[in-house]
Amino acid sequence: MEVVKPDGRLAQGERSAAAGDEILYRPIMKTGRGFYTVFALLSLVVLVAAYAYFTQFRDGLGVTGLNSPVFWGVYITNFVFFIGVSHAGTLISAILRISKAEWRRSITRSAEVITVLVLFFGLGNILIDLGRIDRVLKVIAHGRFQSPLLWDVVSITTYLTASSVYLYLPLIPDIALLRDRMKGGFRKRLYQVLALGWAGTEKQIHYLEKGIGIMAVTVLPIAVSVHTVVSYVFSMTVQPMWHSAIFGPYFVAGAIFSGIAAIIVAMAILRKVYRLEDYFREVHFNNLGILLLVMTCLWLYFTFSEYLTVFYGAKPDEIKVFMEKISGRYAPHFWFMVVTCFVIPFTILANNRTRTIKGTVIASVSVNIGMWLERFTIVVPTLMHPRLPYETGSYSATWVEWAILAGCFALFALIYMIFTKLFPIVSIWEVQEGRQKAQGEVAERLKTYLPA
Amino acid sequence: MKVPDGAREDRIVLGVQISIVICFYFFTAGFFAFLWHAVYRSVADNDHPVHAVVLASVITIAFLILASVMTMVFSVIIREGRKKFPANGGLANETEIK
Repeated sequence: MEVVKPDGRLAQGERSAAAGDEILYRPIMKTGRGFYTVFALLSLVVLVAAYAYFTQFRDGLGVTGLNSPVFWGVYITNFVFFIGVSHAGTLISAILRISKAEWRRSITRSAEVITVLVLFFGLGNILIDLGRIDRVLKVIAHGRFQSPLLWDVVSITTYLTASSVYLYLPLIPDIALLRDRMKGGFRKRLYQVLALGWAGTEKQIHYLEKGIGIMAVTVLPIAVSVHTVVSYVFSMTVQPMWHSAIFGPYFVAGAIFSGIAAIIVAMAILRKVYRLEDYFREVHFNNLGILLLVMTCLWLYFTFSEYLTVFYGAKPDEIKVFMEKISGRYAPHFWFMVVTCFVIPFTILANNRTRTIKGTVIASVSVNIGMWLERFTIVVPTLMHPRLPYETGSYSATWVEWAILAGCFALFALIYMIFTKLFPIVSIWEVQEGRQKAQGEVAERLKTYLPA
Repeated sequence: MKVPDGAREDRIVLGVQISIVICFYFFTAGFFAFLWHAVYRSVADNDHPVHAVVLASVITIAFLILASVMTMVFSVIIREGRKKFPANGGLANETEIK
């Protein structure tokens, strides 16, 4: 066991461990050919998506599969999915930080970045769905608080701001480390500005930790409210299979579910690409895998409750949508969702032998596919059978929508990659602080709740 | 009087840092204007003003917390950094983080 010296200086073992942290600077200091190749490939996908959007902008929403009465499709599915994934970072990082889970130290940053980025994609899909982007000004000029859509605008803006601050504050000491390493040039100046003159004095550390603590507590209710409000966009209408009291918690649970899955996938890629095996260890995947297992069961419980209630009530409007999902046109989507959200992850994660890094990643990819399908099967079948006496609608997404979906994922990966080239993807100071203090603190904490 | 290059650069860095906070305040102020304009219209049109006031108040409190945290962290870190190292920050690890 490494000894923490009373004056806070590093013991020998820790010094060598700190030297090992050099690997965390490597992606920032050096850029290999692989980066440029992936960058070019992703840029190509983004360009195709940009062309698709340009086509839609020029010719109108007629180039999509959207119609009357199915006026929401892939874009709104993306919106709900991305907002859900955004719960990855802030919520999970905040929960782990507040509960003082020491294993969080190397994973929080990668999760917090996901949150901030995907929120932009969530909002972006709404703008794309509007068709004419200038219509967003109407929300600003004529927004009414009676509309859940305005609640969305307000809560997502608050969440985005809070998440950005929550991402930035723990970055400050790491930016200062980078500032000290850079010899000169634009990056040196960028780090100089963003480090705010950080020198690691006691007062600075005290206030920074205070700020992070306040943000961790503040961001939790905001994050829960965001996905609850997203669910209200559906449940506050009287459409069949939308007007449900459990939609709020159902959406929040689903968001945390897909969020955890997204973190696992991101961690696995970073681990492989930047050789961060020492930072994203088996134990991290195992712990997150257990969390994912719990959420899998919770998801099944919510889904079962929701569908059983509709089936047992058998109201004519609702049963049409229900049958459309169970045995109709959207049955393949629905059953594939059940397999990917429950059967695959549960089978893998419930077994100690298969809950390996590889197993956890397979389960997470499966969950993310399943959760996208879940959002899709919530949005589309209901609109096909609206409560009002419309003709039964149909919806088939066009290449424009698929290209924009692919572009969203590619652009997300691209910006994430750029982030890793500018800032450490593992919080260096928190890892080092953990080495210095965590063992002592955990020992103290144990004393407080174990019998003498 | 000729200002040394280092001091000039330091002033620019400080200026940009302060600008970041000011931009945040502008954003917050703009958001408040949007919120309370919607409240004003709901009162003027008698369009469920109580709902509007309650919702806007909750969000206002959230933004006030965010603005306070930003002010606290920025002001303390910048001031302390300049006190310790006039050239806008010295070594990142003065005390605890080596």
